[in-house]
Amino acid sequence: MLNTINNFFEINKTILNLRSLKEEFIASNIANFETPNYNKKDINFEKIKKKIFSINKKNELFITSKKHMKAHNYEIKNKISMFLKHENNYKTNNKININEEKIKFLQSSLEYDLDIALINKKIKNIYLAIRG
Amino acid sequence: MSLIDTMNMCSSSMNVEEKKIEIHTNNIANSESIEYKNGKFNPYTAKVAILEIYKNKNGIETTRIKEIVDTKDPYKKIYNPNHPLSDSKGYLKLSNVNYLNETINYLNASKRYQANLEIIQTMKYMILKTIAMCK
Repeated sequence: MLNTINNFFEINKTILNLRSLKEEFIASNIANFETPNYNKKDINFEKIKKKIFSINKKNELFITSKKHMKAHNYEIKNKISMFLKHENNYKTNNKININEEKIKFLQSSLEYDLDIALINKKIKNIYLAIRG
Repeated sequence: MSLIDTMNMCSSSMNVEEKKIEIHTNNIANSESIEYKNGKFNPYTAKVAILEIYKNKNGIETTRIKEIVDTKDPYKKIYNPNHPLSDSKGYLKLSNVNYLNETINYLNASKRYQANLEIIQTMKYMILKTIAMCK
């Protein structure tokens, strides 16, 4: 029982870690705004999403009608640390647009807020399930 | 997410305004300078930025500076035969920087910068309100 609840928050833990790492990268981009030959750092969330979520086709629900929706069972891989490699997207000279970086920082902090709100919602749902 | 796209537009506009403020300040600072070009001493020519629309990676229309060109205002002339750079008739060319224009343009640019900041703040507020719906 407790194990399932733990697994419930595994994905949230990963995502929050990634978000905070992205904010670190953006902060380092802003800090190195005038450093020559500095490579811009960024996280590619699309690639990470494909790596984290592997769709299990074995455990799919049995469908008897065409109108039934497909329910995917997502399995989260345990090796999360391997996704925390940064990617150097720009190998040109230092061309960091500081205003763009500030906006990105704002965006990722808002996304962090959203994740926290969703975790709170999850916890509330678990309480509801326990108390009935 | 369109709210974030709006923020990115504002960021490009802010870049442009920063650069414009830099140009106007440079014009005022160099209003008495003399440039050495093609073996001749010339007074400083005022510069102005020309903007253009361009689409970024996400297909959003933003703004950027196309080029920085010299203005075509006529040079001022004063009679000063003792100056080493004055011509045979004793007239000295001065730069074509118009203080009034530069100051007004500078104020305009800073006002536009502030407007963009306010848009960004409003967008942030809206997104936070949207997040509050999930709680």
